[in-house]
Amino acid sequence: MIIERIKINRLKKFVKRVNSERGVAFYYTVIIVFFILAILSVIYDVSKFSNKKIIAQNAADAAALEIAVWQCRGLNLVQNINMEIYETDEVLAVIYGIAAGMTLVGEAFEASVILAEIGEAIEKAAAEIAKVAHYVHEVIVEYFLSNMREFYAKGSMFMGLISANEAAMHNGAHAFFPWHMDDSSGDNFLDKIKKALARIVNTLGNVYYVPISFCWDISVKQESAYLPIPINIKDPWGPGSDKYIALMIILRTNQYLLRDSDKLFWKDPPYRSREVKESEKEKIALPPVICATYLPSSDISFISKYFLGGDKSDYKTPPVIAYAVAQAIGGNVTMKSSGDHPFRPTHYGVGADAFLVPMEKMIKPYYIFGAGGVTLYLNIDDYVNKLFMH
Amino acid sequence: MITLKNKILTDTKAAVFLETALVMPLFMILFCFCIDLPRIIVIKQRTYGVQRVLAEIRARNSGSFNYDASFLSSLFFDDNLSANVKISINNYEDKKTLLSEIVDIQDWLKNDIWKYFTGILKFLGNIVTGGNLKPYLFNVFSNDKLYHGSVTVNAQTILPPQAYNDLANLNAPNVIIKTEHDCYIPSFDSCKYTGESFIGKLIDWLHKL
Repeated sequence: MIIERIKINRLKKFVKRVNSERGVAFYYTVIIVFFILAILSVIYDVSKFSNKKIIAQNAADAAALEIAVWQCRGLNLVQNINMEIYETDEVLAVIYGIAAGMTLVGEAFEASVILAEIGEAIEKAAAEIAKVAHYVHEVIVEYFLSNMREFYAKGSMFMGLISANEAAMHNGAHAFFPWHMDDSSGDNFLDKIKKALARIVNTLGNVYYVPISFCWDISVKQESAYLPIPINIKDPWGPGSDKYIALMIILRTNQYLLRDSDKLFWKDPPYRSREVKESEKEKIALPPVICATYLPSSDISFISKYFLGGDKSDYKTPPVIAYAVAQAIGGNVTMKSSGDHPFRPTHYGVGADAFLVPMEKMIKPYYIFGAGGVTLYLNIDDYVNKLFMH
Repeated sequence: MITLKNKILTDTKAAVFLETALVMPLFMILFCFCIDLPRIIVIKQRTYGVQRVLAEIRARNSGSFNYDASFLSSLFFDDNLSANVKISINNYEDKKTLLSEIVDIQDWLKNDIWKYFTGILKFLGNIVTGGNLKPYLFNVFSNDKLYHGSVTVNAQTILPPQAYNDLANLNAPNVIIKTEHDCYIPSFDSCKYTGESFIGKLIDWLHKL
């Protein structure tokens, strides 16, 4: 009986509370606050992704620019080295001319019975001068400068990849092996070694995983093999060259040089064929490079997760991907000014510079300059298609 | 009196009004938060842009930035949304790439017992490479830097700044907005001219002759 009364009293109280207006504000406050906080939670999560996208974009831009800058450095340094080769050979060509003149005088003296010995001495001295010039060329041009030029022509892309990887990581992109980004570790000797090793492994590891396959080959179209003068002099077919060629032919008659005549008339292969015209500048320009960066997403709130498809959805932790396209524009091997030799401009720093370029530049795979000059294949198209199929 | 008090407490008239008045401060705080939070988010996103511009200008000018923070402010915070937003440029902490640190090896060796040995190595290196070591390797690799751009933004909010700064253990008069990552842009120095080797200098001298 008592229990029933208690139940009735409780029921009465409940009915009274339901009918009462007291506490109504509390209920709708809770509902409204919940919805507002839910919307703010989604806004916050979206802003987190947006910030990550900015970070990834900065990383991609930095990486693409780094590769393009290294390509520019390759171009500009090749130009500088070409310039030194040209200047060196120009001086040596003058020395050859002097030796040819001495040979001519010597041979004239040898025709005379009285001055024959003097003539032989002069001819011998001319041969020695020509040999010295030849060895100077061998050492400076063939040993030092040509190798250095090849180092940059072939290596600048690889150096760009190494540095681009670091540029992306410093901007916050995902590191494959992130030890060396940890500045908090100690500075003792072992830590330094550990960091250095991690850095090398990380750099090379990420270079290995860069999804751009490329091959780089430099083929050079040779000038005429029978040109009897050093190829590197300015305008070998210009005014006065006939006299110079005549001097070279005289030098080849020097009896003390006959055994070295094959070596004597060197020919430094041009970096690019003279057949390339100014109108083909676009065709021979280095192709753009594309860099993509990836950032793993961090946890998002339950509410955002619900909107993105729930716990079982693949989108609950959406990754952030960004890409950037950059190109080395301008440069020594694509420019010439009036009065310059086709592949040996007379001034330093004609200059390539790196720029970010639109995606349209990447639509077709590049195949350039197959016959001579720089050949570069980039399987970008395949890569881009795969990237955007996701 | 007791009767009147009971009547006031038990009367349901205007209860909704009274309760609304009670929860209104909470609503107002929420309302201010709804204005402040998106504003902070927008300012933070613009801060990334500021850092990018700062790093890029420095990268294109060999590390120098000849403007002050007001220039950056005029670019990114020149609207009503960002009134009373102040930018301060943080110290530059440029990074070096693996290649540019190769150049530092010689300095590292110099500071150690290898001081004299380094001089000999350098001399031999120059002999072997015909003086190409400096203009074509060291001068090039040392240019490969990543220029730093980092700013701190102070913004006024409707709610007291402690409400936001306490989350970041700060006690500042304004809300301080920092980004998760600073921006690093590679040097645009494409090495148009890195100097001459001593062979080059010799050739120049011969040209003059």
